[in-house]
Amino acid sequence: MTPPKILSVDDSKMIHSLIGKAFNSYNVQLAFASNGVEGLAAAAREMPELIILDVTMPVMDGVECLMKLKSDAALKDIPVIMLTAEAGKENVLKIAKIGVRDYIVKPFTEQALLDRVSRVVELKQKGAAPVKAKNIDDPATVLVVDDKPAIIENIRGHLSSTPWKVVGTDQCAEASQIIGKEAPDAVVISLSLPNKAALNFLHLLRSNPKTQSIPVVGLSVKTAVEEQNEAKNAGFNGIITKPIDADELYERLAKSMNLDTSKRYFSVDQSVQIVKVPKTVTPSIASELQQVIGAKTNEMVDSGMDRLILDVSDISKIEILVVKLILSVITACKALDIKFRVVGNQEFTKQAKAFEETKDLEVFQDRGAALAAF
Amino acid sequence: MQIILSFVNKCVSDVFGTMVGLVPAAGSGEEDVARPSRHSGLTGQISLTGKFNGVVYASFTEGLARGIAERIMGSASLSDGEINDVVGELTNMISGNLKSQMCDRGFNCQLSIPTIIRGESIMIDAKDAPLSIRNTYNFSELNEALIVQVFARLDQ
Repeated sequence: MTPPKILSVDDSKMIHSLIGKAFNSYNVQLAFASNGVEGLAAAAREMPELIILDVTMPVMDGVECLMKLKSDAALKDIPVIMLTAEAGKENVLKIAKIGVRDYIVKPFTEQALLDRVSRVVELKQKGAAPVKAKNIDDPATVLVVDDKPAIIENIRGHLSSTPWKVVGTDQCAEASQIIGKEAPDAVVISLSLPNKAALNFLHLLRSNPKTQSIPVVGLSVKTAVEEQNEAKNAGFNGIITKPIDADELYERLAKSMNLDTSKRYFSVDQSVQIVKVPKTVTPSIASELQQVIGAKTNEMVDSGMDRLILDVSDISKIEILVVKLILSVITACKALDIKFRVVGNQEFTKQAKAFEETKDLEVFQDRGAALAAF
Repeated sequence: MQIILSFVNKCVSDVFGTMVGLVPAAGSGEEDVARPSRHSGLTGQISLTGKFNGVVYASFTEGLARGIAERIMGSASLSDGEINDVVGELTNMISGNLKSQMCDRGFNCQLSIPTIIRGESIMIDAKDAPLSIRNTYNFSELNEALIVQVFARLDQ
């Protein structure tokens, strides 16, 4: 599995140096930016798992940068830990309202930094035995805690085509017992359980070393934004909104369990790597593909393949996310001298002309034509 | 003013104790300091604007700045730029913590980004500041001293 990427945005080289030293013995990839403008560009380019963001910076300060991150569909779900020399109540409330996962007050110790980051990103020591990444074909257990049996059945139905077992309960106490016997691979819990039961349950899990790394996803009515923000700030690994969309449920759970979902997009046909882009490219799908394409192209070259077909034939509307995704695949191919072809429908071909980045793309109508063109 | 001096003392102690592992010995401090003052080395300056309106200066000798920077960065071969950066960030932390204390007491303000001044004879003078404090912080391990000055006014 690719090590998690952490982006540090701070105008101080001293802070960057301290962050580098803190993570020196962990398997993480670090990226650095010196102000908010550079930070936004780096976030879009690197799609990190976490951003550590300073407040006071030249050119664009941390608050403005945070607001821009939260208003960008592709970047808004990247958790942010604010690094600030200002610990006053007003300042903390201000940044909490915009939506940070946590904040660290300067001066800070290395341990305080690692503690905060480890609540968001799984940190593994360098040299630790590699854990075989689970993929989407592996069995998993999902524990659902909801006081409405219909919701549990709804989730069970949506996941029936997966190898995942759904265990349901309407009580947090029973959920604790279930976890005590055998830890699930993920927990889905209704945020509308009375007396903030979901938040308390999360806190319980996180305070126990045996359960602290179980991903917990909140279930919430689509319009309950405040409840969702509270959950995100508390450290939930994701939110699934009701009414439940099967694709969203699957993606959120797969992401929370850190599953290798690349099989959904990557296959091999006649010694050619096929990258099949789904009809709807959500920010999380785009992020996922962009994160794995480097490793996948390395793998294919390692196994002797040098041709790739990017199949976007299911896409009928090009948005900036799709353009960025296409560019990242092309860049990965060019870096390794991989020959590539793009397969798309007529509507895609027409719309591609409108974007500077894709106007010169040669688009083939089907894989046969693309294969013949190699 | 005593309370602001006590805030500054705590900020300096916390910042250097946490980031450098050295807690300097604070002097007794001065209020209504004689102005101007002259310093040699590096001075970090941060402005505060708002109900607590003024400037914080943290003056390091060259030896102190280099000694502190080497401890933090873990390197003995630092450029002037890297040392400037450390001085700026430490001044930022002292000022930020002072700002937090003042904001929590109703004196809201904003911080500027730090400015670093280097020279053999840096003169600091805030002529009209109704509030002026200065204290010296001795780092016995380094045989050097830091001087922190705050010139400000409080707007109700």
